[in-house]
Amino acid sequence: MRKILPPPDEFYVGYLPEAPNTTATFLKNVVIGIGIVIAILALILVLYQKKFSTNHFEFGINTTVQGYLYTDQVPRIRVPLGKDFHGQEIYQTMLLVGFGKFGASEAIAQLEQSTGVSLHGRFVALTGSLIYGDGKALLQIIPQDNPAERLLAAGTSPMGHEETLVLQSKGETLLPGEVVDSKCFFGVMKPGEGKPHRSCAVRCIAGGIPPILKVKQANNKTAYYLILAEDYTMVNQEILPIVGQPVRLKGRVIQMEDWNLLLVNRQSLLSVTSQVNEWPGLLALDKRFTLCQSE
Amino acid sequence: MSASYQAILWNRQKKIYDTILVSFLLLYAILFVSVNLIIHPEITFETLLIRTTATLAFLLLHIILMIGPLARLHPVFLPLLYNRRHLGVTMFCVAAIHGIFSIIQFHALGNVHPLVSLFLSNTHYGSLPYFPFQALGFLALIIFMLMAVTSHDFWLENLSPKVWKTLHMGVYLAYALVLMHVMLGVIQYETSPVLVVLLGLGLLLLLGLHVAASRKEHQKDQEGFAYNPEADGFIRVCALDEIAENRAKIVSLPEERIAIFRYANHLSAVSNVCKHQNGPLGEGRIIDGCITCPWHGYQYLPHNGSSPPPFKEKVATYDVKLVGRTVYVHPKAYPEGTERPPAVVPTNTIMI
Ligand code: HEM
Ligand code: FES
Repeated sequence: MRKILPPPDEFYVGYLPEAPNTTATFLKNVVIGIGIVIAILALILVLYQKKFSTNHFEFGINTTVQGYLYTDQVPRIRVPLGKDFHGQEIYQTMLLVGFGKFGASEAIAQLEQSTGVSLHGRFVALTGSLIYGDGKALLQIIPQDNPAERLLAAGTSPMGHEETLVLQSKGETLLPGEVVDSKCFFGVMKPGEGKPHRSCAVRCIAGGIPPILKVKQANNKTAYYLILAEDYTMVNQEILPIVGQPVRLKGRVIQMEDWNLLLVNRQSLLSVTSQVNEWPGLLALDKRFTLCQSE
Repeated sequence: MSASYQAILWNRQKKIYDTILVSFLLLYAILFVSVNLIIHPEITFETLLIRTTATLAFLLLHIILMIGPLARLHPVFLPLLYNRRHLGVTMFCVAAIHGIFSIIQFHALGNVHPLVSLFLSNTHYGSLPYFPFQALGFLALIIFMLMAVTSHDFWLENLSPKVWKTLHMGVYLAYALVLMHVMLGVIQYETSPVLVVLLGLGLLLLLGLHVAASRKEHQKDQEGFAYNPEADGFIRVCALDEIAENRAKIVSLPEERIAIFRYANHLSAVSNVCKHQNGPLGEGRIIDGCITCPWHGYQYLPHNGSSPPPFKEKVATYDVKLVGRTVYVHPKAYPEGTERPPAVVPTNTIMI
């Protein structure tokens, strides 16, 4: 140490133009050292981040899709993709979300106002920005991008018999996973899940964006469930306290074509989440899972 | 050394300091961004910005906190201290980009005001793993902001050095807040232990340096000085030869430290505490006839403890006497800036 440090009789005065010689040389080495450490740290920090999802948000790019618009609790557009081997129409259901941290209902209300007709069940040409990943897709819509003439140009016929929705019950289950907001998770934010993203997910779900239970499966794939109450109404407000943390949700699984719904009991959801949110909720400290019993 | 507000005075050393600082910022940011884009091409622009600025600011905070104890351990690090506040203000700016952008990203465009959302979207204040970590970052940012806006000497003067110093000790609180911000934030999400290890190493390094520096300080205070006032109140300090020309001997009394300077056949004693930021005057030098503080170069005349005009800083003075070749000091402090006759060193005792 003694050798590499300059002799103690050198005296540095900041406002003089030159630093004393050995002090200057020593500090030059210190500075080079700091530079190397900074570079190494930058590399380590980049390399050891958790991988990002490949989900994607086509920010600033508009796409027009044609399909049946549903304006109920989960606003969505059901896009016919063509016929399958048996001659049956296949659909992809895209969830609709609004700008920012809002669901699509406000935008849809404005569209109904500008067109002057009820849009539920109508075949429309809807323009918006795509959000997609892992086989799921969403469309962010803004009223200004959808003038009435263009929206209705695809035809105004009400839904035909063959287009009616088939819901299939898959029974009651208890699913471990995390409640995320569909918009951020499927591509707007990375990470769009977990602790760092929690408050954002709370804001998005509070704003009407459909909450989703994300469940890791044994085969390392992920299953997604749209969370609704047993009467198919939204539980966005009730679910907020358990968003973005490990939970188990009990409910009835319903398959709605390419989406699964998880219908939970509103009362038991409320009783569990009000506990979680209790002040001071120290209970949460050692409880990795919050149990939501539906019966 | 200005009591009135002036723009920052630039000099060559500060320019070198700032050039190096900017190069380091660029080096880090360019590496972090470009390697991320190569390894994680699917990362979003927002996350890239939030993470680059977050990690850079935290890195700078570590460097800032290391400089103090390093400079106390060895004077060779003093040049790093000289311009530390530029480092501090830069760190605040980088952290502010991270904080403000995080507020926009995670809280704006929602159904409540972003600042309300910051504190109330996550209400698990009673839980450790689910704790609203962003609120901690916000508090730290407020502390950094107060420190950055009061960093100019104008504020030092106006808030009084004591209040200023206390405010600036807030950096330790802010460091603790940021550490928890990270531990209860991304660390709860990330799976690699490397990040926790890095945080731990950073903490250990800072603790180690601070402990070593305070140990050294403590040792100096203990260094074989017997507090035995003579009948006339004077205390024996040391042999004259122990004080080199234009240097000082520091005497640690129970209440205060006194610096006894030897210069041009004279001995004068002043308080060891610089008026600027409590720098140790006794570790300074006499330059152009003035005691020069080792930290930022504030100057005082040895015989009256006053800064040469136009500056107004003043420190307390003390009586010194020389009996034979032994130096004595009287522990009674004269009001700051009081002129005291120096003890004269007979010319025939000068050692060459
Ligand atoms: C208004 C104040 C702040 C807010 C809202 C905030 C928000 C956040 C958020 C949301 C994250 C997680 C982002 C991610 O997914 O990577 C984060 C991470 C972080 N923040 Fe802050 N922060 C604030 C202030 C600060 C300050 C003052 C510092 C101090 C240097 C800081 C340092 C960090 C660090 C080091 C990380 C980890 C970065 C990483 O992902 O590697 N934050 N902050
Ligand atoms: S403490 Fe800054 S010059 Fe003395």
